[in-house]
Amino acid sequence: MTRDLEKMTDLELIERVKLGDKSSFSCLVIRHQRGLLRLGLRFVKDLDQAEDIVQEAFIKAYEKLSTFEGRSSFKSWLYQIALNTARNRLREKRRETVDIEETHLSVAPIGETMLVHTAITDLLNKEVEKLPFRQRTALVLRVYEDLSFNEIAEIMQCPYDTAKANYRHALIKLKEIFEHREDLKTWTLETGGFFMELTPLMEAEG
Amino acid sequence: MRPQARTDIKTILKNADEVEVPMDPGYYHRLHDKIMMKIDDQVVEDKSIIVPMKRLKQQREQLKKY
Repeated sequence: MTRDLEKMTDLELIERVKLGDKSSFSCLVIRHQRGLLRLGLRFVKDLDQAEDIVQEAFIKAYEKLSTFEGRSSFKSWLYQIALNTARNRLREKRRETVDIEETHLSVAPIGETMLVHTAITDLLNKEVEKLPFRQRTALVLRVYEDLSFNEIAEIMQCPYDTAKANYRHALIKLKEIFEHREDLKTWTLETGGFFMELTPLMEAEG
Repeated sequence: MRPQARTDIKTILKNADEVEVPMDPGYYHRLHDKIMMKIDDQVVEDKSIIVPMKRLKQQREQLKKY
């Protein structure tokens, strides 16, 4: 029986849940909880909070399952719910947070390349966090979740072109930041990498 | 000499990715159980609202008779 459920598509499982079979929903949880946790972590950066988002998203999905018509995939619908939950959490957090500058100092005796890499990683992650929510969402879904713009548009509930524009704007902003940081610019020029080739790559992706 | 002629934007972002989800399967078992328990609680809660309402209506009906 369990094996049969595992082989079923999301839509088949949903139909069963709608008929009152809760074990089919359990199967959907098993299938999607890991991906949803990863998505949550990209926004809240804290495992406990990300876990709360996952729980809340599944509970909301269960409550609203009767409204799910299957026009988008269940995964897109679920991600949509999780993103709305994450956005609400971030808003709450912004209200609660007292501005304390977080300082990450690396004192370990690591090589220069490693230090620069750490600096770039920190900077990049902070800048991604600062992006407007929709741009950040498009970037995260495209880069880390490897979703198509069609899927991103579905999740963000916007036209295809808007999803793409949000992604492009996010990349342009990151590029601008890197271009204005002389220290990083010098290093990236020396290594011939990072954002120097951003524009042609973005065009190629379009 | 350039170590890398071109670096793809996605690669840079992916390299800078610090998000790591737990690897322990037990963690996901527990998370799943928590979710399903909360859903069960929700259902019970719904029923606990419905049942007293039914009882209230029945009591009202009985009172009307008197």
